[in-house]
Amino acid sequence: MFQYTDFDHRFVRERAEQFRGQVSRRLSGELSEEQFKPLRLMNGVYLQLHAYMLRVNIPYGQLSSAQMRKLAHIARTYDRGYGHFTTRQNVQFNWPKLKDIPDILNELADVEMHAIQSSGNCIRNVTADHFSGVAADEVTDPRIYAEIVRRWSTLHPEFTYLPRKFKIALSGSDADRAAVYFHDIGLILQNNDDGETGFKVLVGGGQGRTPMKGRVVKDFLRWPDLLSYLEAVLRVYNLIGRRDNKYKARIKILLHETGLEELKALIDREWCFTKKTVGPVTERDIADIQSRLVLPEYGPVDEGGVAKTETAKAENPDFAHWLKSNTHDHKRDGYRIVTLSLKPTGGIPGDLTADQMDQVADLADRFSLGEMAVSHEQNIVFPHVKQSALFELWTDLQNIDLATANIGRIGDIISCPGMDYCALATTRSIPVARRISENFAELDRQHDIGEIRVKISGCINACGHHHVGDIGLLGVDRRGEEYYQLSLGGKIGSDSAIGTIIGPAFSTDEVVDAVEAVIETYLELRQTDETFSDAVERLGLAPFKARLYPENFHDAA
Amino acid sequence: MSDKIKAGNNTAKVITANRLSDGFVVFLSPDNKWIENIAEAKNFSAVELDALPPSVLTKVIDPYGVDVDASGTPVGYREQLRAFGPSSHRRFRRCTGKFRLNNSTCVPAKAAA
Amino acid sequence: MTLLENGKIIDDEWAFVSPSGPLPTGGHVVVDVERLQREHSDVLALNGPLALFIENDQDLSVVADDIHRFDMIVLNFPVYTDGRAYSQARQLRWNYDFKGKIRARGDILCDQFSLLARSGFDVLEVQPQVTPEIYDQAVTEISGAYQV
Repeated sequence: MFQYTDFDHRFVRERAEQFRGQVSRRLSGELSEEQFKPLRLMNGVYLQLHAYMLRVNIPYGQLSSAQMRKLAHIARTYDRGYGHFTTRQNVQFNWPKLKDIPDILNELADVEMHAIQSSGNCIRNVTADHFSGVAADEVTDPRIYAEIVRRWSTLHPEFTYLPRKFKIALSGSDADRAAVYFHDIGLILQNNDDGETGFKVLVGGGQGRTPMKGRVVKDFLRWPDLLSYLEAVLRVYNLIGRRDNKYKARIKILLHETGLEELKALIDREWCFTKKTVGPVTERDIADIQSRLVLPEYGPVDEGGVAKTETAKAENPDFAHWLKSNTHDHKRDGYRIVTLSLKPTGGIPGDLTADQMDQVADLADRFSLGEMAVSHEQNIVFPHVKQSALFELWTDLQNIDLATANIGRIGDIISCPGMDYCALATTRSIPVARRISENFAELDRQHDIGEIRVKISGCINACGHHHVGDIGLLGVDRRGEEYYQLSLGGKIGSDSAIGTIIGPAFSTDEVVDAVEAVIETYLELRQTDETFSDAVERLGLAPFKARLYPENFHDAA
Repeated sequence: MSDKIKAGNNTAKVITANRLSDGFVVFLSPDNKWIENIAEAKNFSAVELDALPPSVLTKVIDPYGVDVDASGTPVGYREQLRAFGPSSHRRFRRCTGKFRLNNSTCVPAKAAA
Repeated sequence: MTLLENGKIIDDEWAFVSPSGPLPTGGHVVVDVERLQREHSDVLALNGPLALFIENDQDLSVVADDIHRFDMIVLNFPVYTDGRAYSQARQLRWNYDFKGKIRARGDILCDQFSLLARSGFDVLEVQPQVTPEIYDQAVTEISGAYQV
């Protein structure tokens, strides 16, 4: 977690007051809706199906217990008692009143939170690996650089009115938990042979209507060049990105239409200038940010406690399941990373009630040094849990329904809010998520199936990231009925891939059975220890197609 | 198993919008007020839609016409969600006036005449 | 339209030459890029202050050689959400080291004043009801910036 400065604090307060003025001008009629809309979007205010929606920025997902308590207070005081955590590490409130939003922003400013640029055609929340700083497989902690990028991108005078939204993600390990290949800019931290830190720079990734994997524009960008290079990319995009068609306005389209080599040349040409004008990131900049990164005060390993945890694991199969799926290797001995599942069986993925938020904050104080992170999969991570404390934490989590042992399993469904909430959606997604979750409720079975990501989007904007799901479901409207296209083979990571649609869409009555059929096919055909993802890669789609559309196949594949 | 309502014949139109101050779904009443209960909304013909006074329009965002059947139920599932609330959170369903809650949806409280 | 220079109201002395009209013989003259290219020597031979109007979809490099002959460059915001001219202004200042005035015209709300000032614009064509007080409030309501 970063300690914010007086400057940061004043900035968010002033921004909240600026928006108060803008709301007042809108309510008085001085601003039309057309004039006001881009301004409110840049403060995270959408108009959705039933009400406004406020998207609060959580920079690269890092959240303190004090901040979580504030979110609970806001949910309780200004909204309807709950919040929703998103695939971009933000939190959304679904029922705020416009006239209250300036007050909400002021409340958020109390804890250095804000909704700045969480929507609009500007640079959005910078996201990073939700295990940043603690993962055992981490090469370098991306948070320092995420913070540098966040500051550079906040109220940047030149990049406030881009052709379209712009999303930047950072990853500090090969595991790529931040889906960097599917962002407008993806930055992969690496060290070169000389031990210098730098970035592999990817441009033009994205999902939505035209999913594309990001392309490498720079194999190794030295860390001092980070901001000057980003500035060059954004300037080129701002000047020549398409503005004639909202659906062709992302940088991925510009890259596709311009060509990789030409785009690289344009960026490099601009970079000649920005190297001098923006200048390098300096050691002092890094030191300054580093000094504000509050490092966790780890304690000594409680060997006795660790032993007790092992005993509990042996004696309690439910606890053993939870340890297996919901905890991850920590870089520090005696600690584990714990993921709280916001996917209770039959529940709404990613939602927390205000009471749960308060309870999670208390647990974070007791078990995770007051810190947590929002994952890209709509869960909450406790980064600093002592191995000796795991059983106690698990017990407490069960009491608030956040201990479902399904992280990374079929029950850990990622789903956009869908037509129940979203004005853009064509179908609902939450009911399907719940029914799939209920279908696979049994934990032993979930763990037998193993690692798998089911991702559901209620429209082609793909906010549920269905393109990169092992099983992806996309809701489509057929003559007023809800249908779901099923795709297989999506994944994030260095071998990122966009899923392939398997065949005609399934009706809402058929879709859960279709998913069940896919799983049964996998279970029948898998080799020992073969994950779903590997099995799909090995087998291809044919056996799944044969199972789902038997009338089209005369022999089994 | 679909919980959507099939709308009947004989559709009329109500005018709906989102209220500016709080974003909530509203419908235009017979006395030109914006109300949250679709059961009390005025039925409009296409001609009247265009003749709304500006002072009525400034309180809302993007008003438009929605077809409703004889029971007053909107044709089209998206409009049913807007009128009655999300299917995902039962506590936010509003089946007011002549509608009652049935599972996670609103149905006419009595059969259409 | 009110004209503000660094937040103060000034008179507009500039005449925008119509694309088909004749070049005036004197005074403050604004020509567009097409005119400059078509009547290059005539334009540069004009006495008096000279300005160039560059559309927001034009690449500055096409007028690179002549930029420094102009006292002012005029840039355009067809709608305030089309932010290309911010980049053009920054390129003028930073890449071309342009020291003359940069003027913004088009769809400009007070919400953009601060961004415009920080991007290198000195002169703004604003709505008639804008006053220096409104300008001051707009450029100071966020007192700091993360960027240089």
